[in-house]
Amino acid sequence: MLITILILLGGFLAGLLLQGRVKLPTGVITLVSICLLLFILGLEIGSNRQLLGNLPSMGLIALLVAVCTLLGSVTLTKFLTRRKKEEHGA
Amino acid sequence: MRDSLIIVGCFIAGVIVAVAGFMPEGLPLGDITTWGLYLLLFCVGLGLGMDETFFRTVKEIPLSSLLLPLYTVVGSLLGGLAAWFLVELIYSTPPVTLLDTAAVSSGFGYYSLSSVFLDEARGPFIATIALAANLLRELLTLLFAPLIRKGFGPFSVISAGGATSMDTTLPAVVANSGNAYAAVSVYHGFVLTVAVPFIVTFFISLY
Repeated sequence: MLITILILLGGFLAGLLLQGRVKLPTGVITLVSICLLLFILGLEIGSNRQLLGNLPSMGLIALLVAVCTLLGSVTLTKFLTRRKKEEHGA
Repeated sequence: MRDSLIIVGCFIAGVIVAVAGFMPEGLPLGDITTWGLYLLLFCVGLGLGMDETFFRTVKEIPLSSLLLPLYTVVGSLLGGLAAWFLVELIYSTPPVTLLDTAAVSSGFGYYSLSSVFLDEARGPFIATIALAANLLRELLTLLFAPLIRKGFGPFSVISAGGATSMDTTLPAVVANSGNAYAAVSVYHGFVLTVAVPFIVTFFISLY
């Protein structure tokens, strides 16, 4: 956990220092590393028969989480931003 | 959208290569994942730090919407809890734990980062769920943005997109909520992008 935070902060500080001085293709490097990591995730799943058989189950759970987190966040935001507007009006 | 297709394409390519039996034996996948993850994290930080528009964007945000990222985080986690109850109902032996569901929910649409984190910490089963769940969240937001705007108000389109409200779902926010919401949307996505690694690793540390 500490390493995660330090690396992220290190990158952010380096970015602040370099801001406006150099143009780095951070977007491209990020995309390439994401692609590499997800390719490896694909390799892990593809080489594991048990995981391959679990794909429908993973899909169902993923759909449940996607719909529930989306609905949860929009419901709370609706409730809290509407109350705020009423306070402003009062 | 183009980047999303490339990313998902890489994942599918990996599955196909392995299923076809083209994977070389003895690849240090774990090490590559760890170092790739460090590189990715550094780049995410670097990209955010180098973004000259960031501090200007923050100044344009009305004070009342500063807390919006918090609503999204709490709402998503409550939704994740509901999803876990549904999983409990469906499966006699649930394949995921409450912590797994919480960690997956903390991706807030940031499917790439949350899935590679969970691959290292919890293995490919949970990582794939994180990839699919957070990718679906982004797609559902893009598809249903007009409905969300109608039923839940202009700020909710931003919340629905989660961390992606600063890039992929930003056009949907502008189109449905209006130009005035662009700054809030970018700020919201930025805060959540930074929050994802922290909150996901927080749940991982609880295992």
